[in-house]
Amino acid sequence: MSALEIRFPKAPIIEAVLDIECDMPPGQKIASLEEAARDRLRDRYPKFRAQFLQEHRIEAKPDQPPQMSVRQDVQALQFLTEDEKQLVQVRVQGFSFNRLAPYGSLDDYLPEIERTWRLFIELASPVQVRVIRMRYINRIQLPLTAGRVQLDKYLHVAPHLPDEKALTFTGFLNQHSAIEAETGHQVNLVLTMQPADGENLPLIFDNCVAAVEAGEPENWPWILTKIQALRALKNRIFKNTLTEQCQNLFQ
Amino acid sequence: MPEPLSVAVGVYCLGYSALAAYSRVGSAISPESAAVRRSAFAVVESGERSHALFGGKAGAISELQALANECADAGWDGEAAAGMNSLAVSTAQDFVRALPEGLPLPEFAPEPDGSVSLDWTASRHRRFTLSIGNSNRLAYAWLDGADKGHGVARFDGSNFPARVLEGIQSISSHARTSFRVS
Repeated sequence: MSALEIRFPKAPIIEAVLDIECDMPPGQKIASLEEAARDRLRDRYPKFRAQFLQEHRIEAKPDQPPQMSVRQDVQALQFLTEDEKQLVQVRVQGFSFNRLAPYGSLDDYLPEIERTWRLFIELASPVQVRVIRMRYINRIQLPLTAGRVQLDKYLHVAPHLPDEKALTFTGFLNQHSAIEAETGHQVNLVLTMQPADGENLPLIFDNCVAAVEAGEPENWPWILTKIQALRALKNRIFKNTLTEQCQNLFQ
Repeated sequence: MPEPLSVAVGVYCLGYSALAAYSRVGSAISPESAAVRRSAFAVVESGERSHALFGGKAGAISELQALANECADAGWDGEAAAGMNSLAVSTAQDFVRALPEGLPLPEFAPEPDGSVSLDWTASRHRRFTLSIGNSNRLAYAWLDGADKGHGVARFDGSNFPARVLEGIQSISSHARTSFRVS
C-alpha cells in the first residue's frame, strides 16, 4: 500500500472535503453567480442550497417593544448530486468539493474535482489560490465491553484522566495543531466522542491538513502536486493516530 | 511507536483560537462535522467565560458588538455610509480572539463602506490601523514618526497574520500610553 493510498473494506470516512481558498475578485457577490453556476453544474448536481451568514439584531428602545431584525449574506452556493452524497461549493472564500460516505479513493474523485475546479475558475474568476486544505472526518465505532472501552488500545494519542481508577470519561475533545517542519504544511487533528450507540462508542477523528501557499488558479498540475502531498501527510497522520487494533476494525 | 510527524516548535500557539475555527460553520456538511463544531463551541464558550483567560477580549468584543448595533443601518453617519457588514464584524471578533496574549487591544471604529477599523494608537505619531471588510484580506497602515507604510495581510480566522503582529508590536513596544492590556 503506497503512502498515497489507504483502502479498507469498511472505511470509517464520513466526509472528505477539499477546500481551495482563493483571493476572489474585489467586490464580487457570490449570490450573483448563482444562475450561471446552476446552469453549468445542473447535469451532475441538480440540487441546490444556499448557505447564509445570519445576523439577528434585537433593538430595545425605552417605552417601545423590542424590535427584532435579521440580516443575511450568502456565504456559499452548494450544488448537490441527486443522492446528496457529493457536492460542489462556490464559497465567498473559494471552492470546496465534498464527498460523503460511501467514500472510495481520492483517485476516484480527482477527475471530477479537476472538472469542477475548472468550472469554478470560469464562473468566479479567482485571482489567486491561497490555501489548499483536505479534511477527512472519520467515525470509528469502538466496541464497548461491559459499557467501557480502553482508548489506549485504539489510539496512539488517547486522552487520559488524572485519576483513572476513580474517574470515567463521559466526554472529551482533543485538538492538536502542528506544522510539518519539512514542508510547512499545517495539521489540525481533533478527536472527540459521540454518545454511546448500543454496543459501540462512536469516536470522531477529524483529520485536517493544509498547504498555505499562493499559486495560479489555472495551474492544475501545481494544485494536484499539493493535493498529493497533503494526501500523503493525512494518511501518515491517520496511520500514526490509530493503533493496528483500531485499523483492524475497518477490515 | 508512531513515527514523529514533525518537530514540535512552540511558535504557533493557537490555544483557544484554533478551536474557535472549529466552532464556526465551515465547508463540511456531515452531522459528524456538526458534532465536532458543537464540542469545540462548548470548550471555546467555557474558555471565554473565564475573566482571567478572556476578560479583556470579552470586553472588546462587547464594545465591537455595541458599535455594530449602533451602525447596523445605512446612513449611521447622517450621510451615505453603509451599515456595518455582519461578516466584517464576525471576522473582527475572530481577530480579537486570535490576538496573542500580551498584545494591546484595539479601539474600534466603523468605516463608511461597512468595514470595521481597528486602531492601535500609541501617540499622534505612532499608530497602526487595520481595516476588516467582508473578505479575509486585511488592509493595514502604520505611522511611526516620519516613517509610514501600508500593506495587505490575510486572516484565516485563527492564525494571526505575522506582518500584522510585527506591526502592532513595533508600534506598541515603546509606547508610553494608553493601550488597553488584555
